[in-house]
Amino acid sequence: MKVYNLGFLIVVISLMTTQAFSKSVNEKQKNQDQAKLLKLESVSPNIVKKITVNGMVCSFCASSLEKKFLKAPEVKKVDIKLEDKYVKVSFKPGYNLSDKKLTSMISKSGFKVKEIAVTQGKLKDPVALLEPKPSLKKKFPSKFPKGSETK
Amino acid sequence: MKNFIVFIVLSFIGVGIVQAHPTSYEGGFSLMGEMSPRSKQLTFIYSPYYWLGLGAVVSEMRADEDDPKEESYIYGAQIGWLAKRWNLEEAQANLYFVGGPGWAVQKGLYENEGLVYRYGVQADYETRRIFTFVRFIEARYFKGHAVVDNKIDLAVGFAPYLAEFKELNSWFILEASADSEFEEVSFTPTLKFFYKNYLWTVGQSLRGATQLGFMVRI
Repeated sequence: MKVYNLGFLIVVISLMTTQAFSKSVNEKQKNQDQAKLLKLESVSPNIVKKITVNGMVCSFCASSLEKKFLKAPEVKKVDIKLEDKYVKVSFKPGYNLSDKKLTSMISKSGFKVKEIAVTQGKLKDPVALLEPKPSLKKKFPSKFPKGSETK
Repeated sequence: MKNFIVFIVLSFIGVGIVQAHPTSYEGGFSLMGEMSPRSKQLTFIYSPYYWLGLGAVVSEMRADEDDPKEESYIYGAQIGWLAKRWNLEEAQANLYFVGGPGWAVQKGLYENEGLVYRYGVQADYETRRIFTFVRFIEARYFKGHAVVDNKIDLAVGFAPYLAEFKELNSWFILEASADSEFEEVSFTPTLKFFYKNYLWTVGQSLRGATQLGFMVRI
């Protein structure tokens, strides 16, 4: 009987130790991720893409592009220059839209993409593999179709 | 006189405000209004795709601006299809087919009412500096398919200065309208302005009729 009690005690202690260690590892990982994210945001606050667009000659028609992009939860700011024929899209920290998605959004507004260039931010930063903030996906579930991605 | 009344009636079941595109961007709404001594018109368009515009138009017209008894009304559906768009580096050109069914009510001397349908083609070419536009629309009664009217609109214009996005854009435009036989051509110098998603026009025909228009894209 005493042996059983001792065995039970050992199992309980083992489980508690494992759980505590696991929590510690998770906390450590979480802290590391947050530190990486903070570092990324301080070094490269957000990605900016410059999209050269053909056919964008009228500001009245181009306003549809601004509306379209500002509806996307990943987008922070949109600048349009008719003279230079570009749309500059600034993303929220930690967010991005693929070139394919951007091309699709512009095509659906009736224009043609000539070129897309990243003018700020680094797409291949290792911290880009971090999971996105889930709050945005919860808040706007329908706003994250295929092609919508986080960096 | 009857032909003239029909001409006036059907001239205003076109695509709404002068030179406006009959489609918007995907998911976009357009509200257009036009007012002159002879007509008031309100047009609503929804675009499920950038190449398709679906909506409705309500018009009130007077054959004689001083005689309210000579009024006519149109309640119609509005369909616009962008058949081809050329997005060039410095320009954009469009080819549209427009039309739709409607119900016309004419009061006064030539009292009449009935179902009408119309069909037409519209094209434009625009840079940041120049604008050209042409549209032909023909309307027929459903009953008997008789031609009740056709109309040609032409417009050329230029921007006196190059405005940036979110700046006030201004255009000087000369419009010319006529029936297909060019029996009577009217010319209307027009000023067109747009700022963000608001557009408005003011013009005065060489006969002295003032025309006002607006358009909002939501």
